[in-house]
Amino acid sequence: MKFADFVIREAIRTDLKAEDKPGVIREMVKSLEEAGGIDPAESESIIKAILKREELGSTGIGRGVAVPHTKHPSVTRLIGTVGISQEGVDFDSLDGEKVHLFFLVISPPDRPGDHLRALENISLKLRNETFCRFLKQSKTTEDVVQLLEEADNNQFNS
Amino acid sequence: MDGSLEEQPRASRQVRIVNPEGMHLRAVSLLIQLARRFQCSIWVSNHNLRADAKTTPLELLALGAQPGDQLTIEALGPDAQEAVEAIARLIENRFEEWSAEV
Repeated sequence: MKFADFVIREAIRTDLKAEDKPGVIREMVKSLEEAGGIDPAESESIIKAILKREELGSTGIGRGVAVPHTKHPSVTRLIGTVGISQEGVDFDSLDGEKVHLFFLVISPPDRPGDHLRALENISLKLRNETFCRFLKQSKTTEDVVQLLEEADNNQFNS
Repeated sequence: MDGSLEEQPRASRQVRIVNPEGMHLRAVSLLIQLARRFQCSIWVSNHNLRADAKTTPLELLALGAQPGDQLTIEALGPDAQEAVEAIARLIENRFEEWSAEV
């Protein structure tokens, strides 16, 4: 699975304002709503589901990256967005590091394989330190889109 | 010769992913917590990729282990055999069956 298969460009944010976990999740779900990626009537339900998932264990995966996610019946295909916090947010990660880079993913309940493939792709690409660092340093949506395209074209080897 | 690297016990085992959701993030987090209880170094491999089982979830998620995939668990250190068995058991026990809720 490639980033282009699930990342909604219009929902990418390189200037997340939120300073805590619930705030970041809300800000990113709202960006998906504004981009037309999700039904506005379902936003609150999605935010709640993602927060509930966080209670089971942080989705901070190390290297300053987190992948908040949920399954939700309101989406028909796997969708996601990218958020960058310049300040970093405490996300209760296993390694204790602040998170600067977020991939928020929502998947239909009946497609666990897609969900796993998306997480695999994100992790595999972010193992490349250059890619991970460049993404965190991105200042505009265009920067992010270009980096994701380059990663999709295997220009970063892990 | 005591304590030299060559003297360290080694262990390895193959184990198949049997839970329907594969090695998702909660499964990976549990595996890391288990691995960190052991003194030995531990690695998990799938296809051509090998990950340190004690580092970050990111490393293990990158293995993309799906149901049916055969993983190799390797360990090097005093409690290598015990560690390999414990991790294989966790995987065989479907990561304690809580995968369906994720």
